[in-house]
Amino acid sequence: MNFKRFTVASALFIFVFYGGLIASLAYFLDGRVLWETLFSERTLFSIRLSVVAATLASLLALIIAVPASFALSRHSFPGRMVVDTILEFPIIVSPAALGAILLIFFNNPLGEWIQQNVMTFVFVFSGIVLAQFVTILGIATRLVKSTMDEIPASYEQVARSLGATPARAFATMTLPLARRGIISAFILSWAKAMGEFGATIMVAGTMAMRTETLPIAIYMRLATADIGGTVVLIVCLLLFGLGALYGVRLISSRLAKYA
Amino acid sequence: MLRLDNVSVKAGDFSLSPVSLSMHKEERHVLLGPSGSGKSTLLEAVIGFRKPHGGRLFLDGRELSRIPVENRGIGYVPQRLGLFPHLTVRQNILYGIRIRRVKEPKYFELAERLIEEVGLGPLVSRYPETLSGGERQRVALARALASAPRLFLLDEPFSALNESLRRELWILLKKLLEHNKIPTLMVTHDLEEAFFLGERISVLIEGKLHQSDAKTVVYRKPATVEVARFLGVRNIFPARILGKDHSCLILNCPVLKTRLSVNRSHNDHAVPEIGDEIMVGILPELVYLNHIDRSDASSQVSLKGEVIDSIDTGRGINLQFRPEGCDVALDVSVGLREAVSVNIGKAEVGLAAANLFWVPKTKR
Repeated sequence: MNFKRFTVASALFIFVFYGGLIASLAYFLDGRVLWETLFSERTLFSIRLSVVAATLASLLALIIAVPASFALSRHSFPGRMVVDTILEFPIIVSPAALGAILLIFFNNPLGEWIQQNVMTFVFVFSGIVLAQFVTILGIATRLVKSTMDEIPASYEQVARSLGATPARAFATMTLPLARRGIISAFILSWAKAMGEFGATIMVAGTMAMRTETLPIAIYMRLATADIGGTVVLIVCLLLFGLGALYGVRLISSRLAKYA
Repeated sequence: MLRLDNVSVKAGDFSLSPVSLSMHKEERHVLLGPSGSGKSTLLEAVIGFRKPHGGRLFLDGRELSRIPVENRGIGYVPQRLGLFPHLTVRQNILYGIRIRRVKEPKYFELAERLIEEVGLGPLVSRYPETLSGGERQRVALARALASAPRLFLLDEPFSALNESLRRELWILLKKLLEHNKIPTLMVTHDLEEAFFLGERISVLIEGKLHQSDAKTVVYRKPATVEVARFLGVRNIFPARILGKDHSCLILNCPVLKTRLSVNRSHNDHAVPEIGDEIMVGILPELVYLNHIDRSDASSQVSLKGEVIDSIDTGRGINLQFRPEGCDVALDVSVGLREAVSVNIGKAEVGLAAANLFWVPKTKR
């Protein structure tokens, strides 16, 4: 086997491996179960909860990620390297450990004070959003930063020489030129948040019709040996994920002109 | 106008030694030097992208250090132009007026006039990516000038263009600057560009300002060996001072095996003492080949020797002339018209005192 064939075979293996796993779901897919599970109140609640929580978490992550990635891309400041490194924190720590860290935090005096005086996070909806936010913040910042790194600083410099304040230069140059990357970062973060399980289950628990996101619903159905229902929910999550990826591709090609 | 008092800048490992220079109203001043000499760093300090490590900058009498970039009133064209890719040509040119929410019609009229002057009329609705290299330069120039800046800075804006386009844009830029009466500080490493566009030239080499003078002085009387070498002068030799009178230094130049006289004062260096070692030089264009020019015969030193090599550069002929008994050769340039009478073989050259320059010997 020559080298080219070896590399192509490796690429095909990835497709066959993932594709095969997905296709194997069809074995347990039953039309009646599909219908009943998909339109059950519990599944619709899970979908609604997942969509709302992931959207909120992604928006909150972007609110921090956009200015933070600009600072990391353009400015040198004390601790810049440390911040840049810590963006990978949610990737190197397993989601379950991340959730455990949050849970432990809310059991220390500061965490307890926050729970009592600011907002409750443990075993409630806000806990789901927080767990997802913690998981995606680093990734969202890394994605937006890579877009900003590609935009020459000379645009902002020229804008400033023409009379724009730093904030106006950012708003009129960096932001429009980075829009493709920012939208893509939002969609990818959203898809990641939709599938988030480990941290969410630690912080929000597994309460049906309360903190039951789609991944938690999959776990709960599997725990009760409801294979058919589990498959339906997996397909559901898969469709959301693939839809998000398709959205990113679409945006990349439509907005390719300026970024 | 613009005044720099001992401005020093640090940029990573590079540091720019204190620079002092001043520009008068409507002056076209060029910062000339090889790559990595600190020209762009100095320009960035003037516009405010870099904080000077020391010294002070003044523009129209105002100290610039506390004035943010956007309030300095300095037009800027960076090396890669920085045309805003998401805006049309017209939006690019009007950006400065709109961002400052200027309402006076005179600014819009200026922008429209500039659009016409640089020949962008039919292209105003196009995006930068659809423009040619020359058109993009025109947009960058018009955009910077449309805000009616008090000072105009250009950082090697023509470096990526071909020869004919560059010359075309030099003429356009010169016309624009003369017409709009805007003082300009421009960075380039290109001698021809510097001498075409500049009135005064400051030469920066390895982070140090070596000379700041009128362009003819810089070229004909470089102030240091480094400037002379950067200008491409290879006719520079060590010499010892044998004597001096009210106007000239009498020198012994061992490598040319001759005595020479050179004007004693043409730069800021203190006149050296008898016995001191200095460097003496001459531009290849100012070496007279005897059978071509004998007009300065009275103050000339004649050297007999032979032309050992001749290179046609397309615009003239570069000759290598070796004086009799010498190991070194003099660079001699002659124009195309004179070139027909130049042959390899025996010849004589004349070195006139007025054309020679001297600089202190570099300590190595």
